[in-house]
Amino acid sequence: MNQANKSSPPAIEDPRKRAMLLAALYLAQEQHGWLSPEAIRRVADRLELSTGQVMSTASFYTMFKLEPQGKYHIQVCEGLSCYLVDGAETIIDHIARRLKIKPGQTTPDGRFTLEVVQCLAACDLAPALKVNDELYGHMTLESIDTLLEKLERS
Amino acid sequence: MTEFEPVLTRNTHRPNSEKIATYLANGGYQAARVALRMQPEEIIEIVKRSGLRGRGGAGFPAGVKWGFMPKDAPQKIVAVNTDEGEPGTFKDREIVERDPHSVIEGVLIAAYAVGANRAYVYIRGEFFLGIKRWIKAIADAYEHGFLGKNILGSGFDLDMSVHRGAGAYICGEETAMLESLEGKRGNPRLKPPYPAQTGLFGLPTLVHNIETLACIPHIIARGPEWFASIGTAESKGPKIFSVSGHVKRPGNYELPLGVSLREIIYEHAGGLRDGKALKAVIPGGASTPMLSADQIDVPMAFETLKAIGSELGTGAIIVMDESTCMVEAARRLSKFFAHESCGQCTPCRLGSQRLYEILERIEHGKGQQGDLDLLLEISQGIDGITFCPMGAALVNPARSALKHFRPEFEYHLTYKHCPANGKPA
Amino acid sequence: MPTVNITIDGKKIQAELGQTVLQAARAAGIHIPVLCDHPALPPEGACRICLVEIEKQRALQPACTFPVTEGLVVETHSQRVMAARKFTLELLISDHPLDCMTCDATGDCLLQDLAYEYGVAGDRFKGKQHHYPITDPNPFIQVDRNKCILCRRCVRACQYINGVEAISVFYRGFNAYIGFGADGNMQDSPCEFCGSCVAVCPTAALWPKMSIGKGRPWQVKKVDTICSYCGVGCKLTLHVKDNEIIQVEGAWDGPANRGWTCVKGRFGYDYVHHPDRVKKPKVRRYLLEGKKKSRKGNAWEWVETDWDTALDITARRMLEVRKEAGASSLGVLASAKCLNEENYLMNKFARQVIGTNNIDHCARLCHSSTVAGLAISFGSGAMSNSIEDVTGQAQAFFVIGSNTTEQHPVIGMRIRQAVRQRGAALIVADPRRIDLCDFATLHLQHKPGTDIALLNGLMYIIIEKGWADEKFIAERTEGFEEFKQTIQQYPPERVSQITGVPVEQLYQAAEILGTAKPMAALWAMGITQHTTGVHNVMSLANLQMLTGNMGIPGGGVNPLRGQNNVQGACDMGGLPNVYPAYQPVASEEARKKFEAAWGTPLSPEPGRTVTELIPDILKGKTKALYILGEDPVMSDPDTNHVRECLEKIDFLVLQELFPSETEPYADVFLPGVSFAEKTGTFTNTERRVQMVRQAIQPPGEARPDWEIIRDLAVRMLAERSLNPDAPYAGWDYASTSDIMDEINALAPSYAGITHERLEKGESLQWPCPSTDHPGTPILHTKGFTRGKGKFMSIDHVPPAELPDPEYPMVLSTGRVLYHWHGGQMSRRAKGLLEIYPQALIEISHEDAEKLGLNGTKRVRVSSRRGSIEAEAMVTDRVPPGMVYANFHFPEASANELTIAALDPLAKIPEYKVCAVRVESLK
Repeated sequence: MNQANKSSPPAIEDPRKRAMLLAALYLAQEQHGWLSPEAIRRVADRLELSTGQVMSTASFYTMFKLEPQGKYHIQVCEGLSCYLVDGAETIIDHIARRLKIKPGQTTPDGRFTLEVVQCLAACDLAPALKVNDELYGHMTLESIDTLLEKLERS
Repeated sequence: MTEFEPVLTRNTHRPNSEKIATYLANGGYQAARVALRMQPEEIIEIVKRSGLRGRGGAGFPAGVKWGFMPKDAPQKIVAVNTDEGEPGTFKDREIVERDPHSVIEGVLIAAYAVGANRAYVYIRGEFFLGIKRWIKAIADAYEHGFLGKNILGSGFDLDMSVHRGAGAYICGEETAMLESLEGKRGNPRLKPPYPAQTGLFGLPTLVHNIETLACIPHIIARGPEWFASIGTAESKGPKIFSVSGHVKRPGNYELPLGVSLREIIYEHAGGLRDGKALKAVIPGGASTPMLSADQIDVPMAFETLKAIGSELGTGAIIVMDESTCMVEAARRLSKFFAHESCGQCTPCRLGSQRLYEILERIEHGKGQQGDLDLLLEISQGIDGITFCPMGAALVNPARSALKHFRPEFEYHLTYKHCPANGKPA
Repeated sequence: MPTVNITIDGKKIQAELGQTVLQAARAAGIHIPVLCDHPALPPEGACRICLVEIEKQRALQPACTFPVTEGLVVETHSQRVMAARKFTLELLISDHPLDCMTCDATGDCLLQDLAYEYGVAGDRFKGKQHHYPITDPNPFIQVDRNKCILCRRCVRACQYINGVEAISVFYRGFNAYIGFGADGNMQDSPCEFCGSCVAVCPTAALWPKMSIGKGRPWQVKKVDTICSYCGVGCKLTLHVKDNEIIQVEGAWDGPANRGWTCVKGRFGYDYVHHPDRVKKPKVRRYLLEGKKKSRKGNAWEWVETDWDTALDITARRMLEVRKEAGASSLGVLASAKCLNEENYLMNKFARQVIGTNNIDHCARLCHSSTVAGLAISFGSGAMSNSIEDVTGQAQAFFVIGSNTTEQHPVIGMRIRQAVRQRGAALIVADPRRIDLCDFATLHLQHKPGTDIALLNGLMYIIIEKGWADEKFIAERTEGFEEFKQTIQQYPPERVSQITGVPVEQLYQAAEILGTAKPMAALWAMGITQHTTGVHNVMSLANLQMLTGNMGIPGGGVNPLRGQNNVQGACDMGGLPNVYPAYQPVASEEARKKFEAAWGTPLSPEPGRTVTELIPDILKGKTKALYILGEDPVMSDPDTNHVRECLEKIDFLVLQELFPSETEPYADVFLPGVSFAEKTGTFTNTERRVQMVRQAIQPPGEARPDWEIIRDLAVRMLAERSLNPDAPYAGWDYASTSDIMDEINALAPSYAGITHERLEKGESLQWPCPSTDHPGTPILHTKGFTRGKGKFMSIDHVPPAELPDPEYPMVLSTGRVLYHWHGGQMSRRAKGLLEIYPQALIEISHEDAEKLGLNGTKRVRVSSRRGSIEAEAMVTDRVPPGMVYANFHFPEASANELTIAALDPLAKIPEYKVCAVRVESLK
């Protein structure tokens, strides 16, 4: 334990740099799919913020991933409108069984992460899910299988 | 059935509707030309006369809000709220993806009217396509001289930028959105001061939902009287209603305010699927109290819904048929709110969790006697004492479901299974 | 402030516009319960406990944020309010351990109090409860997130009190929690362990580890006293149970600290109870056996004995030495850590009892150049302003040679807040990139020992640009023309060449210093510990006269005194050239006054300083020393030489708490007591005299130091007859209050400062010439002590020993936050030692690479005086070419390397610059 060599306290924040934080986090996350401690540090250095402020802010938002993600990040909506048309758990369970992981987990080969999300504003396309940034609507168990196969092959 | 000439969605069916060429070819930015030759005060008057009320959920008269902006402040901002995250709502997505220029034009006019030279557009992070299209739209607008310096020779400057949210529904609350734009956690701020006094970076800020802003060019082009002629006594203008759930044709439907809920569900959205009977409807998004099947003749407007104990909210209609378990519906919506609580104040942070947990255990057959009263108590307790209006919102699903469907809840407690869809609890 | 009339619970009160309902209620003595609000922090309005019913407001409003307006009507305990509060409490209790029986906060927990008041017995909701592990390994603060109510007082405390912002909220909603740094351990975050978060936490979520299980709030006796570490003089409240200090809090009404304190004050108190405390007097065997002094074998063994024997032997030997070699062969070291009353007695002991002016103490090593320099420039050598006005009103701070956030942490925190919240400018001049630079407007990283050139250069620009305060110069100073001539020799280009500071920065700094008003200059060892120390100080006096920043709030010359009572030790005449209150020994008038008071002739010759007394042992000029609470082996330069000298001394009496590094050289050890075991006064850096109160009984037979000095004096005076008419010849003091009475009579600046006034709650800064005088917060407001301030013409002179091919690097030395000077106290505080267990040598990345420092990173640093081996800390705090070491650990003390080159006037050593060679150890 070397208390003497801890990181310096933050300088006074520049509000303009602070305002760039979410955008910077997105950029950093794009590089490796998640925000590692190293990525957080780099963002903090670049914007002259403390790592504490960066982490605290990043952890507030569900789209910032503080754990490694799979290549394909599957986000299944469990909102009311999707549930009402046989989406939500029906789809989540199906994918979970197929990939042999629980929601929140990543497959051992690092290919898929399954996440349950609250709402994608795609209720007209319910049941809906997203894979990374792509939105898929009107999903059925068959179309899900097709999609997963396609992703497994790529 | 009300035949209504689309206003806000008049472009969205066109191919390449998001492109500036399409927008211009169909009369786009003409209203801006007109507005930039008027006096700012005139425009504010026009918007006041139109009776336009905010479309983000609160329904505050837009013109009055514009009037709150200080006349003499050197720097002012317009902040556009596209953090649409209310379950059941997808109207903003349509505008963002298919007609961003209508909003840019609306922002331009609003900014000119209140003297703001900077516009910040906050789009929820999940709207990946929308963000891409909006960035392109802004670039095109700059290129065509609708943004930047000395717009259309008026001497008025406006810069606009897009800012991506990152998965927090609470950032739809205007001050939480400002916090997020400032790069912070999305915690709502104390009001007063209101954003018109102290907003983004401490500057006077006009915050509006994009649907509200999309109305502005039309109000200028066709006049406030035309706008006020649409709708009801207190709710003016066209509205995009997002309909989802157990209907044949889920989608966005633009209709005048005041159209009945029945008409929207049965005529425009095709009625219920599979010949099922209607059980319950959420009229204005997940945070509005649900209605029972015998209340659907209500005109969809601010004052009429308020009169029957609900709210217009965002006008997002979720239709539930007889197969729906109301406990599950309430549970699901309460889970949403618990997940989205910012955690700042005790009643919401802990209350939303407790509310959800009780519904969870009732749904799973572990409910205890007294749980229903507890649900009501918690709802009563949270409502009105939270830091921000989300407190009032988060109790509505449980409270209204319990109000209309109490026997169903009691059945769960007594028999430990669901009477609606026969599934064991 | 305009007032408004409001009604709270039917009571009509007047409130100030701008206040909140809560503030108005508090001022009127009306109680509104709170959880997240704290008077020392800005309000959040988030816990919802302080909700009140306000007429015409539909919803209940939080009193902590709702502003008062004319005619406001408030109900604080209506049915609706009570129901809301109860509901909120029920929610909190539903995720809170119900272990009040064993929880340390029982009896001191706001949540518990409210649960009791509102009848919340347990959890009604039966939902999820958190079970966070309690695992933060730091030695000071226990982090129990299960008891956290997310009131975020700690987040605000770390932001608005300390300022490092080490605490944040992570995640959101029900699963939000409080975390440190980037959500790791406290010690890996910017946390400085000041404990402000602990002080404000309403539950046991943050609790001092050292206090766990030690006692209940109602079992402790609370004693207010003053910290024993640095010169800020924080008022502390000691919690005592069964004769043990079990917790320390900052006192919110402390005039210097207002409740804030640092890791040493709050968590470094357990040295008082360390087993190393010497509990019985001891003497070397040869003395008991009446033999000649021998440092070999049995003869040198320590033998415990009784007080009479020890004191008899001491008195006898001292009288013998005086008879053989004369009074001036003896010396007395007073103590910057002991009470004013005790230092006064040491001064009387040296002068009246022994008959010499050879009395000095460690101020010699730290601020003697300040005292001497300001005495010449102004006639008086103390901090001219107060902490409150400097930190509260300065528009700009010029901090030169002071690592304020580490050495005077509370002042450092205040400066941080002034910069953050008021936008005050901060210029830091320091060869190292210290923590203070993190929020500095400008960091002038000048080369060590070039302060005069830097200051002259800044003053050149100030004069050139017409920023000099001509009115002030004309009315209140003399010597300006000659001074100006000298300044002309320091144009920016030359100064930049000497100091290494870019010309542009000189202009930037000069503009701030020349135009921001009031501007306060603060300094510490970086200015004083040089062969040019006195001149450095006078240059700063020049600057403050030039800019007209003297005698005004927010301005002044503010030397930050190091020790808890170094100011007092100086004030009490613990110096060889002055009597108490700086009455000069060389002044016939002063001498006659004291002769008359003490009833005996006094020596007219100023005595020798400690930096002369010790080396003089080898010359045979010093035969005996009586040392109170000082550790010259650790604190004086050139340790090897000090040891060499002390080995040869005829008789050394050491009176202190622990077997220090000086102890092996002592012939007699008299165990004194700590600050917690006696009553008296300390004087802090802003001349504020504060009460120190006894809280516990001393261990074993250790005795209050003033009693020991008194008893020794009585013995030594036994054969003498003093003038019977002399009012203060005697030594029959029954308490320190008696001693203070004598001080009142003989030290004009302390004349009105009595224990009685202090106990009544008066806060007094000297000069305080009479008992109805309120004390003096700011000096030199109308005139200087010497009349007009004197501009001095000062030229740059390089340090005594600069690098050369054999010793190519500069060594600078100093302290760290967690330890104190020789480390006798702080190394015996368990937590402080745990968090900083060994000496570290700061070395730059470039130099580390050149040396090939990898892996174990141990280095040997050697100078012409000696060498040490320690672990290197590779950092960007030091510039290339410089290493930095501290003197807290005897096994690797910087003073093995330092040079005893002295300022000719003040005799202060140049600790800040000497030449060394660094080698990597494999």
